[in-house]
Amino acid sequence: MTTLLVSCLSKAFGSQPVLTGIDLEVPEGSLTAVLGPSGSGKTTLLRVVAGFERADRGTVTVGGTPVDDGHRFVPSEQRGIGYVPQEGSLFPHLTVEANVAFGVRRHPRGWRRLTAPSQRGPAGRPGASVGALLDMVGLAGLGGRYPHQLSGGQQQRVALARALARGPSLVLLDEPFSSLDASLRASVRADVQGVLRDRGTTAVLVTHDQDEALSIADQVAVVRGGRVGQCGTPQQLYDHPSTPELARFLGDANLVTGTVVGDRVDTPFGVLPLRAAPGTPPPAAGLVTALVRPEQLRVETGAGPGMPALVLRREFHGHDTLVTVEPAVGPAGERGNGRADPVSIRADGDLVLPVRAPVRVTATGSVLVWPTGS
Amino acid sequence: MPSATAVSTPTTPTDPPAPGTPVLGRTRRPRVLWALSSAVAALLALPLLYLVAQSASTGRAHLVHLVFRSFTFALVWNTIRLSVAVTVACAIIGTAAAWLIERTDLPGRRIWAVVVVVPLAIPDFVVGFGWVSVAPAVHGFLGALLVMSLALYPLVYLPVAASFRGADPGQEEVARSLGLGRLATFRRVTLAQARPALVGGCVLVSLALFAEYGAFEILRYQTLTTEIFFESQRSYDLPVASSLSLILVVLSLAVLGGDAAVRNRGRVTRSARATRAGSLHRLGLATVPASLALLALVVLALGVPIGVIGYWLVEPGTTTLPAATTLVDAALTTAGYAAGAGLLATALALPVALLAARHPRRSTRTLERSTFIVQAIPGLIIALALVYFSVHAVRPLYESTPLLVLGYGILFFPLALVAVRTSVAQAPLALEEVARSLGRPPLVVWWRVVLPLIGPGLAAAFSLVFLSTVTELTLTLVLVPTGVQTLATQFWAFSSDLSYGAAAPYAAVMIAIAVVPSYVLGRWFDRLPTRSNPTVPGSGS
Repeated sequence: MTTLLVSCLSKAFGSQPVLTGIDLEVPEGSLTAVLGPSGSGKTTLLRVVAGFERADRGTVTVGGTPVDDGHRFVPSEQRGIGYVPQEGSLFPHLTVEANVAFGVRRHPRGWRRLTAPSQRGPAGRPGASVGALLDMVGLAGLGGRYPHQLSGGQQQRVALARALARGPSLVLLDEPFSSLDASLRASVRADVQGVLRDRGTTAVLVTHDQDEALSIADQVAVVRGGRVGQCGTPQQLYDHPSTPELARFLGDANLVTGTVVGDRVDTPFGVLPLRAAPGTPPPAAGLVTALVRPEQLRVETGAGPGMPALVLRREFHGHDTLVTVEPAVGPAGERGNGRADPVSIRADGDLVLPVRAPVRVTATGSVLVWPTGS
Repeated sequence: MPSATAVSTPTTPTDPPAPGTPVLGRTRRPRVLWALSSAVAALLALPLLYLVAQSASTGRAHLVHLVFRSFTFALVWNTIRLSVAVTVACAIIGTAAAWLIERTDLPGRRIWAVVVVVPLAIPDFVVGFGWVSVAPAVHGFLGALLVMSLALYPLVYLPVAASFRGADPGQEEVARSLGLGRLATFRRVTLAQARPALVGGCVLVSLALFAEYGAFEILRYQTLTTEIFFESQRSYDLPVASSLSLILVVLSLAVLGGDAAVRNRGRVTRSARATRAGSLHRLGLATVPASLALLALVVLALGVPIGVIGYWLVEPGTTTLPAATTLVDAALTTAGYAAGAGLLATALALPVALLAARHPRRSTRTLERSTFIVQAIPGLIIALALVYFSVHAVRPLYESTPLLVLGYGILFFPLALVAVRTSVAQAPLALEEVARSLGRPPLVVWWRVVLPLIGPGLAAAFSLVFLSTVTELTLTLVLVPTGVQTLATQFWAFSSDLSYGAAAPYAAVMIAIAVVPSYVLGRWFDRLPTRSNPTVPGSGS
């Protein structure tokens, strides 16, 4: 069952096209990340789905009902879609409790009783009580505070609780973690993911952070230049990006030129089994662009096979070390095809190598290839 | 907790409006706002229209003759030299006081900060009255320089102090680390940071001087405004009055335009809002002279007028206390006019502020800015314009209460706009969108989100206009309906007869009504920056 269906959606501001035919299908209960650089139109997509902007062309269907298809436009207050803006946008004049209860119609005996069985959210799900919601987002006991008395992470949690209070069928999150500092981001992100999953709420999260998208989403849609470049599970996107450009966008990528020989490809790091990019037949022969992820590579010293290189720099991350090397040129380095782009290797955290040290780079696993020029 | 409202209609996403239902998107609202704002702008343009009409009817030759008389030159020279001298004096007093109070370890800074602002609530003509009755020698150019500097320096103090408070202390520290001494740092960094505020304050001082009538009449100092008043109200020589009005408005517009030009040239940028207070300068031995200087300022600006009023109130031999009923009547009339003016000015400002804040485009900004031109029109000319239009077009309005309130509304529109604009920024569109997404229809959202957020700002605009109206004299003298007395006109009538004892109670009530709201307002403006949600609506991709 699909909760949100967006097809051929276009939107321009004045003469500036922002969305140029977006297609997106969000299955029920999933967390879909819309990933794109700033200016790619991802926030506009969210605002059209929420009903803050109107589509120029295309349709938006929520729970099987068209809400914006050129003829009809359901105003956002009737869509039953939860929305968590970038900065939280809590109502500054209301307490945390009143913020969370804002969208819920009051029960005659007060809003604490809004969980009466007769009171059902617009999607037919029972709404939770304000107390339970605050408990769920880890803010039990802070209901009497005002937004300015909360930290950024707490504000973001309240914004989520507020969006969930009506039991919406779909929740939209617009870069909800980008205003938090790094240490807080991970914990808030995990909590939000947990809450959404526990409630089985379908969610669409807009982000420009590929780590975030890959780590918490069930489905990732990469938006580039106003359309969806590729959509799939994080694993699919990481392993089979449809273009070299997307490969580089989703995680660290080494793109090298290789030559196909049968079902293997000859790369600077050695001859490796190949996988074809989605939608393209496996090339039988010829030059290809090959994707080798840094964790497939190993740095070795001493004599042996592999690509000779010089260490350029080393970034220590604790659990691992990202080593950047420069392919050695000269007699020993002519194996490749003249490409001398630096190569990143994810090595063990305790690897210690001086800069300019001569090393060899070898590879394991299979590589994804695109015909050169794609 | 707000009380229960059962306004929203139960609707679900499976129950969308029937196809063909007219959909009111966001594009509709600006159209209404545009219409209202344009109407406001047109209303505010009336005084300029009047000047054009008057000049046209005077005829070009006659106008040229009137403008290029030596008498006119003398008036212009009087006006300009006084405004330059007072502006410089106010700039020095205001900046020095602001620096002492905001940036040094002067004892009692918080009390000083309240006290030095109070002269703003005392009408200039009362300050003049106080000085003249205490020292008859205070008159002419030097007298006017003294009195107006003491009455107007808060107009510089307030913005400069605010700018010192908000300035990034890091810049001063960097300057010191780069080897600049204390004085050089003050001149090149501290003052440079405060420059837009200082220039803005000076513009306000000049415009206030151009518009002042009462104080100069008391001090027997002739300016363009006093002469326009005389020609239009006493000798009924309208061509002369209009030719002088033209010059006066051109002068004011020049000051306003010069301000805009300077502002655009030397924009002071800063990387971030100050998050911590800068370290305070230690005054050391200078504490005593600095405290004495502030004390002298307060005694001269506040002590003299208040003391004189107090003296006349308790002096039994000279006091001919007015019948309490006239005092109460005048106070009630004044309060009624002021309330009407506050409501009208706030109502006029709201659409303009909403349009400019919510739909920031070049066109809306231009419209907003055009309404600020009214700042340059002295109240006397607004009054003359309204007399002209009521006599020529809407006769029943002539000498009526609505016309007087309309005059206040136009005169104090810029005050209201500043306050409303600040508060409209407190209710970003993003909050409305969230509220809509939570299932609340637009009207409920206005009632429960927008109004509570901008309410305090609307109240501030109202009070600001209210207290300005209470102490307004010039426009009131021209437009007040025959037989009606306000506090200001009663005070004026008695003090013109040199019945100081009879005038004093009116001044006392006027100040009492004006000081309390200004204190409340000050507190409100001080609390403004403690907001938590500086949301940028519709940002991002």
